[in-house]
Amino acid sequence: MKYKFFLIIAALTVLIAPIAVSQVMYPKYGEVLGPKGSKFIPNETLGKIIAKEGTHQECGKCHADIAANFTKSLHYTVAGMKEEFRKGAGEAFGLEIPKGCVKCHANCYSCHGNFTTAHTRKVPMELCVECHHARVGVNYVGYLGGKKAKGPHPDVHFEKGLECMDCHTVEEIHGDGKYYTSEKLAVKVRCEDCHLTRKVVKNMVATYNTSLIAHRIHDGKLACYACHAGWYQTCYNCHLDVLLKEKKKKIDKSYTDKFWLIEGYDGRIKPAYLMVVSYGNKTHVGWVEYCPHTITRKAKDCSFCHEKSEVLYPRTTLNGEVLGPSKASLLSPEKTILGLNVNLIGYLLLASVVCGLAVHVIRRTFWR
Amino acid sequence: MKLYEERKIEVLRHSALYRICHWTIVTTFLILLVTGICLGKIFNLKAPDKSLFLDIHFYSSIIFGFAWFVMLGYIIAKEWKFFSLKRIPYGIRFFGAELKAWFGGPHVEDPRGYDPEKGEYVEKIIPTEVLVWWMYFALAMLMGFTGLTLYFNLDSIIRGFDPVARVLMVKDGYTLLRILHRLGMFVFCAIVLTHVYAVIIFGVIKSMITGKRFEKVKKEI
Repeated sequence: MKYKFFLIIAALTVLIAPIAVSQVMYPKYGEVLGPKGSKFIPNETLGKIIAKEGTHQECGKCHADIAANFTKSLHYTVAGMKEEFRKGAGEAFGLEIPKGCVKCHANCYSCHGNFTTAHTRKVPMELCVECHHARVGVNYVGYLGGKKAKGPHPDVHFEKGLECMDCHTVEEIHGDGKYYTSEKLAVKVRCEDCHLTRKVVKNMVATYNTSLIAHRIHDGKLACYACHAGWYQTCYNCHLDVLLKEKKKKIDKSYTDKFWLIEGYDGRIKPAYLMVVSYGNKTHVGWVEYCPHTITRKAKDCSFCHEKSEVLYPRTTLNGEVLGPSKASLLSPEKTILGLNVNLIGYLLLASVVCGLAVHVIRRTFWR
Repeated sequence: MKLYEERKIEVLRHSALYRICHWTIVTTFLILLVTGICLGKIFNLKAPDKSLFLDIHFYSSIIFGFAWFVMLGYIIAKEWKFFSLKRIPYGIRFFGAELKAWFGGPHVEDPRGYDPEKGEYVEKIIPTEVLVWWMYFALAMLMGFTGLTLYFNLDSIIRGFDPVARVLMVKDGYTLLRILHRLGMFVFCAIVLTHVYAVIIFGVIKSMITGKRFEKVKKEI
C-alpha cells in the first residue's frame, strides 16, 4: 500500500511540477503589458532556454541586449586587467599577462547564481566583494586585501547600509555596449549623481553643502574622494617572478597610511596608488588613479595636501609613469624661480617684445 | 675705402640645404609650440590626448634638433666667417649702435654687400644675426637637454640639479628642469617674434623661399 502511495505521489510530482513552474515563470493567461513587442515565450522554445552554464549565449536567448553588451563589458573581456598589466609591467618586462590574472572573467552565473536564483533574487554585495577582494570590495567593508586583516575603517556608505548596486548601475556591470580598456572609463557613477541632486536612497537623503569654502574652491577641479577618501591600500614591490614561478603573490609591504594625488584622465585631481613591480633585476613603478571605497563624512584638512608636497607631487616620493587612461598625469609643481612665477616672467617678456615691436611700427609709420 | 654702389645684383643667398633646415625648424617649432602649450596647460589650453601630444612633441623635437645640427654643420663648413663665435662682440657693439639709433642716435648703415668680381659676400649678415643665431642654437640645445631629461626621466641628471635648484629657491632638480624648459620656451618665442618682425620689415622672407636676393654691390673705390 505504502509503495503504491509513493508511486502515485512521485508520478503526480513529475507531471505537475513542470506545469507549476512554467505557470510561474512562463504564464500563458492574461495579457503581456510593458514595452511593445513583449510576448509569452512559445512552448517549443521553453525547453531550449534553460541555461546550463550561465554563458551569455544561453542567457542571451531571452536577454539578448544585455548579453550583447556583456560581451563588451570589462567583466567579460577583462580588458582592464590586460591593459593595466601591459602598461604596468608587461611592456617593461616583455611579458604577457599571466593566465591566472584573467581567471576573473565572469559569466552570468558568476553573479546571478543559477537559473532560478538569477530570476528571483538581487545580486548580493558579498559576491562583488568576493571577486573584488584585492582592494576595492574588501576596503569598502573595512578590510584589507584578501580580508586578511581589518582596515582602518569601512566606507561611510557601507556603514549606512548601502550596497554596491545602490550606487553602481546595471549598465556599468553588464556593459553599455562600448568596449573599454579601463574601469575608470567604464564606471560612470559619480558622487555628484546623488549628492548634488539630494537623491533619496534607502530612505536617506544624499546631502551636499554648497556654501562650504572647500567645496566652492575645489568644485569641478577635484573628485570628491580626493578629500573624502579615508585610506587605501598601496602595495610596494610585487615580485612578479615569484608569482609566475610559484603562483604566489609576494609583496614587500602594503601601506594604508600613504596618500597621493594625481590628475585623472578627466582632468580632476584624484587619489592614486603606487604600483611597484619587480621582475628579475628590473623594477617598474606606476601610478594609478583610484577611487578608494573608504569614504568618510569628514574631509581631510587643507594642510593634509597643501602642506605636504609629497601628497600633491608624488614624483618627489618615487619616479614612475602614470598608468590608466592616457590623459592621466602627475601634477605639476608650482613653477617659481627665486620666488617669481615663471609664467608671469614669460608673459612679461612676450608682452615687452610685442610692445617694443609695436612702438617700432609706429615710429616707422609716423616719424620717418 | 669700401663703399657701396647704388646698383644691386641678384645672388644666391641661401642654399637649398640651408632653406630646408630653416623651414624644417620653423615647422617643427610650430608643432612643438602648440603641443607644448597644451601639455604645459599654458593659457589654460589642454591636450585632448596627452600621450598623443607628448609623442608628437617628442618626435618633432628630434627632427627639430636634427635640423639645428645640420644647420650648424652647414654654417661651420660654409659660413663660419660670418657666424663664428669671435664675431659675437662685434654683434653686441652693432646691437648697441642700433639701439642708440633707435633712440635718435646716428643712423647705422646696413653692412651687407656682395662682391661680384670675387663671387662672394663681403658681408652676408646684419651683425646682430650672429647673436640671434647662437641664441637660437643655445636655446634649442637647452630645450633639447631639459626636454629629453624629463621625457626619459633621467634620474641621475635630475638629482644632479637638486643643489642648483636649492640655490634658485626651487623645490628640486625636476622642478627646476621643468622651469628651465618653460622659460626657454618663452625666450625662444620672444626671439621668434622679433625674428619674424625683422624678416618682414627687411623684406627677406622671399630669399628664404627662393634662395635668391638682390644684394648691394660692394667694391673698393
